[in-house]
Amino acid sequence: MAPPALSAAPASCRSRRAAGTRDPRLVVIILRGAVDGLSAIPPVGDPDYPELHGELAFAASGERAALPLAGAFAAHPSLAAFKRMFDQKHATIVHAVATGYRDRSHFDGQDVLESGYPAPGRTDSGWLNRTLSALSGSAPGRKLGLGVGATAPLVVRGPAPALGWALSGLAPADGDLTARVLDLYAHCDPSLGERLRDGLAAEKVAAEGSTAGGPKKPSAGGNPVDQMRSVAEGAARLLATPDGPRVAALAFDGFDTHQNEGAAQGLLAQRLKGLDAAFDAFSENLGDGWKETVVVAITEFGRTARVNGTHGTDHGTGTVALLAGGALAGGRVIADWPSLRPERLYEGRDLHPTTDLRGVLKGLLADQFGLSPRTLAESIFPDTASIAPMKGLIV
Amino acid sequence: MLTGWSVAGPESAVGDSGAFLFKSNWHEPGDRTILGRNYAPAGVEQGRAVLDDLARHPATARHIATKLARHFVADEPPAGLVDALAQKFRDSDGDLAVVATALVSDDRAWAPRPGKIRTPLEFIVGAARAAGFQSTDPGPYLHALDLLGMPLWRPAGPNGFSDSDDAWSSPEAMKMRLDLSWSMAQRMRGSAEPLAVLSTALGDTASPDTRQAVERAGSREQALALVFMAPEFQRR
Repeated sequence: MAPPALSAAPASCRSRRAAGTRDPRLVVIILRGAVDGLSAIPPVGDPDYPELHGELAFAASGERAALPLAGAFAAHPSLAAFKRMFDQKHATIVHAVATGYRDRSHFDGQDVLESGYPAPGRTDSGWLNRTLSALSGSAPGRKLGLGVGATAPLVVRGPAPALGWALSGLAPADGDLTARVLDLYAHCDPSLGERLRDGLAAEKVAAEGSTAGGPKKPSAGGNPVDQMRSVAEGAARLLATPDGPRVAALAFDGFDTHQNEGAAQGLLAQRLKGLDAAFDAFSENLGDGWKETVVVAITEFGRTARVNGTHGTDHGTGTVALLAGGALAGGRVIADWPSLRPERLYEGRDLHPTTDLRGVLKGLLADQFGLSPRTLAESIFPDTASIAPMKGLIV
Repeated sequence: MLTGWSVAGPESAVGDSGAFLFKSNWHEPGDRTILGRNYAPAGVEQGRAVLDDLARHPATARHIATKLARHFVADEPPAGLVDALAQKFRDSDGDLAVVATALVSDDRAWAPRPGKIRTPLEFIVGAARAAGFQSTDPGPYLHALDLLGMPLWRPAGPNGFSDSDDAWSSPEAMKMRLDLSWSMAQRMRGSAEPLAVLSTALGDTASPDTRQAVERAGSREQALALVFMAPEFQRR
């Protein structure tokens, strides 16, 4: 009997999806301040890199060694867990990537990154919220989205309702007071009561997890790295809940390293260590859900290739997108590498963007949730018919 | 047009700290065209002329009227109210006292019930004032505002904080308000009688349910927390 043709594989994937046995998850981490992609994922094999990135540059070996990945690329020493996932084929890097935004304002750059609109000025909804709208037919009445933080990131804000959760570190109100307030609201203000009940339910899951295993309260105390880990832990527990959210957004700030950026130690090293801890927390706390998860960390733009006069870097253009998750066909650095030759630098100063970030995100949404190219090009990322969804990111 | 417009620094020799200052040698000379109208070079007066014209533009009257009505009445204020306020703005040549008087005198401004939720700043400051709580330590207030997503004077973008109900009454925000009410009540319990605070803050507007909940509370701090969380206190 003839073995099944190789071309049957995609068809069977589609049928598995249609049968509803997949339960995919997507987490978007917004890294605010513009990440130096040439330090996060240093192109240690590019001959122009050491001189250009100067005192901040890493090397393939020696005392400035970064963690080797593939080909010319390595990972910042802070990204140890991410590197481990890469080796397990659960992490992918897209390098020399950027949105369509080409100016240098953080506010406008973040608006474009998160709104998914081609230009700044529209902040009524984010592309992840519009994704929720597109998915709402598959689970009527269920909140598939989760916005993390005191103010949810714009990417998940908009008309489609989303669950919210924030790490507070406050001593929670005791059960008796909570019951009395809920009782008062039930009589006098049902809409506030419903919101409060939803908030209490989310906090309970984030603090304890939905399954047995003992409460493990995330703490807002501790250093910034622990805090970033705790935020990811809480979000992961909510995403692990059987009927919980499946799409989440959170934001980490502090990547605007104009001064004393540092190399293996310093400002950027600490922020990346927190991000690495967050990746680790998602993989640890999602349980079986990790197999079907992608966590993607994106930033508004990159930084200058050269070091400035204050041991840092200034606003630039091309940068990296970091993807982690068991759903990935990982272990790859995807880059149409422009090189760092002086004549190839964007405006003579930045890593030249050769991949549109929206193509990466469209590829993830297409393969994780089965969204059509038309929906992606019209409602999720308007006016992007010419930017094809990147293929093959997901197993 | 605005080049050269500045403020005096703390050590300035030419003006009080923070006062407006026009630095003519920083001003980019030349004609400016704004909204189709040409403005000849006139130093600081060029910018003032532009601002005068912008202030009298009909879109400005509507914009200010909409913002006032949205802030004080409802996210989607009655259209007739906005029109009336915009008209007052134009008729009075932008006298905000006249516009504000028209707002509070208009029945339509009082119609939408329940009212809007207090912003985090209104809630936190209101709680401390209602309790008569005096403290020289700003730390807990600033921390509370951070937790509620309204860090003092630090909005995420130049367009400022949201003025919509949904932005401030999300599930996680309501849960945070409950925890903060509890922590504030513990901190302030010595400074006020809960029923007196209820009366100070809400007077006759407290519902029988709220009054009963406060009266029947199991402890003084629980009673104070119930005042802070009462729907009439959370809303304006």
